[in-house]
Amino acid sequence: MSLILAVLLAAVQAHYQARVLTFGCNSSTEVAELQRIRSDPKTFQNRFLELVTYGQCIAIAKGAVVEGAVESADRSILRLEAASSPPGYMAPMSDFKQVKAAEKSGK
Amino acid sequence: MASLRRELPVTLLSGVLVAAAMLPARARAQDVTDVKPPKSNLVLKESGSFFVGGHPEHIDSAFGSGGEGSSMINQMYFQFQKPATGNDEYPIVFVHGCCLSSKTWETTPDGRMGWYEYFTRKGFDTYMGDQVGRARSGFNALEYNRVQAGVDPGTSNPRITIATDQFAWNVFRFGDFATKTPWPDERFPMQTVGVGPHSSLDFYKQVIPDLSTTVGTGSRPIDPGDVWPSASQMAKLARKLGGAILVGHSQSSSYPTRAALFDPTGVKGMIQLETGCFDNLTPAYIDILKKIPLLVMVGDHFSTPQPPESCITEMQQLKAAGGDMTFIALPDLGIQGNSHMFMQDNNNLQIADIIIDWIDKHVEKKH
Repeated sequence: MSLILAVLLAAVQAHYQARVLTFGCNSSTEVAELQRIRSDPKTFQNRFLELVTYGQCIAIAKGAVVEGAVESADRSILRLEAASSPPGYMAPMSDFKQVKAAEKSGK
Repeated sequence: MASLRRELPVTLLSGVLVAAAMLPARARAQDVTDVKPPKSNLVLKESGSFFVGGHPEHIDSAFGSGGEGSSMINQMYFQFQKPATGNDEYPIVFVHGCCLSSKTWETTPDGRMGWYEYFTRKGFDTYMGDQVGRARSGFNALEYNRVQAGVDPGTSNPRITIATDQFAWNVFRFGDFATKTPWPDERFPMQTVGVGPHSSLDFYKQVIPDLSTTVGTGSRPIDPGDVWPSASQMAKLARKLGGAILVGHSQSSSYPTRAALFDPTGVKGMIQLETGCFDNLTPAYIDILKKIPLLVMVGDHFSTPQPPESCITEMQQLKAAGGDMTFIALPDLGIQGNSHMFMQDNNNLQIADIIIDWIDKHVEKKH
């Protein structure tokens, strides 16, 4: 089953690199909430850590290269790593730039 | 089934009898004098440890010690024990949350029996794993050395999560941090976080740096399950075991679902402690999850309504598809005062029994 999903997803996946230290969440609602409070670093950090702790979000290092696809219903959301960690993580598209797989941070 | 859940008999079986099994749990506490010996011996037929997954990452001579080569990253450490007399349930696999390790499931900070031992005593083959990026599991240290060598700017350094005592009080819901006043009905052993006479800080010894931000920073591996690997490693283990019940807590609470979606073959049950719900499941994902029973359990003193919206959405979707999802807020059962760490609360074995009862009623048997 995962192989089938992986094949289907591979057809629409591209590689993206995180421009900044960013995040991915279980739902786009959580992404929207974090985006709303991002301008207040202390509030953001407290809420983000809470969401990480409760298993709803993860941190993504600056420079990390991920597979992803833009959500058709909301172009501001990137669904990351749906093949490796389904159903993927929802992340703010504006934090990523599309790259070729080989670019991998030059590492 | 019920008869198998009594205390295991003190019987020496032929074959492998682990010497450590005959010892009380004295050696596993953070302060040995705190450990309360059990009333009966724990009799095992086997215990051990192993790794799942991981891949070699190329390390340039500028960043490695001892020259250019490869270094293993993202491997996940598991340890297990099997009772001499088992039950008819599938093995159970525990994975811990943020800033913690599989110590979570061992002797509680005040010296009582933890779930690792209790579930074994109840007849389960019991496994527990350290998340990738924590404790005995691997992580990608190359990111740090690149910054240290000046190749990458400091701003690209992965952030190490260092959980403070204030974090613990607020997120684990112990009470008011400023005044160090626990909730009146708080069930966590507060004497291990500095409350009351003769208190200690023993619980904080379990809290360790969390390197999970390094997860996903390795070179794109051949195996897609090695990108953010803890959940996929759980799926691989479940498959190798021929079936398992996966348990995630807190940071790992969503991993059982992710594992099932990665490869449902071995996932017989999903237990998610303190959230881990999704509201972005596609019909294809729901079609997989509807076949595996799911329990989500939360404690007391949340500042937000329970269940959260994402759990309500997921439950509606799964039930509409014929799935089996149970949400238990312990206060709804009349059990008040449980913290985020209810596997260590003063009623931890009562909570374990609720979970075992759910397994009995919802998860298929081995045979």
